[in-house]
Amino acid sequence: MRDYSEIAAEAAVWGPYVSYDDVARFEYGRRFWRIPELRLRLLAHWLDDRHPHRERFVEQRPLIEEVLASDETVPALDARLRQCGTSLRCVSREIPPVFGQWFR
Amino acid sequence: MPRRELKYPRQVDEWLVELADCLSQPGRLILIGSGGLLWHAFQRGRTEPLPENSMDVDPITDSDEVARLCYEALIGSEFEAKHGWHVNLMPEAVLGEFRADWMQRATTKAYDRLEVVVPSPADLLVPKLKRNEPRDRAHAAWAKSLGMID
Repeated sequence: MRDYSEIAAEAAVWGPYVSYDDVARFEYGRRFWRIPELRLRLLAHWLDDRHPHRERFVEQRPLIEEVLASDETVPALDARLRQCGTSLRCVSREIPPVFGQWFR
Repeated sequence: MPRRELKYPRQVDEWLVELADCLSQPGRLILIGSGGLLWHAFQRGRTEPLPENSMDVDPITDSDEVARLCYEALIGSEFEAKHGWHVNLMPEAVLGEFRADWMQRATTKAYDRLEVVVPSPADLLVPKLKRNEPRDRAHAAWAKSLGMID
């Protein structure tokens, strides 16, 4: 686990009204992205016709994949995204959720 | 609609035993929220149910295998169908809601390969009382009635 000071340093990236669901999709999504089997499973789930965010994911897929594949620190990743006119907070919101009914 | 059938202290302990049985290597999680309060109640041998049922437990983990097993128990999963509640993985960032020295008061217990860390009842209640919804106040009163906080 990261220490408290590191977590506190990241708080600025997520802002004053943090959505922990968004942060969790980023944190665990990035963790799973490093595992080929889970990466394929997530992709299959998000591209499934039944997934309500499928079209939105397809539209933003390159950016979402880039963020999930990154290995920078949270502040460094956010700084890089801001140079491109977005932020980690914005991109994390676009990472689709996983629905247990058909996450196979 | 998510099912909301988590109320007895033993339910959390049974889930941790079940989770530990599935691990092939050492893993660790931090348990926060009402699931953590139920865990403390079970450690004290208490059986009283939460005054208002919960729909999930909120673990945080840095273990790939634990995280994957928790994803198998998300809302809508077979796990939820079987248990009546689900697992909602939380990010490490949520620990920023706690006092900086919460770890000094936390309890750690090993379930075979799974190390479980649970902040003290008083620390678990800090974010709840910040939110201060009727359910949060009811959980605080329940913890007090069981002698888990002053």
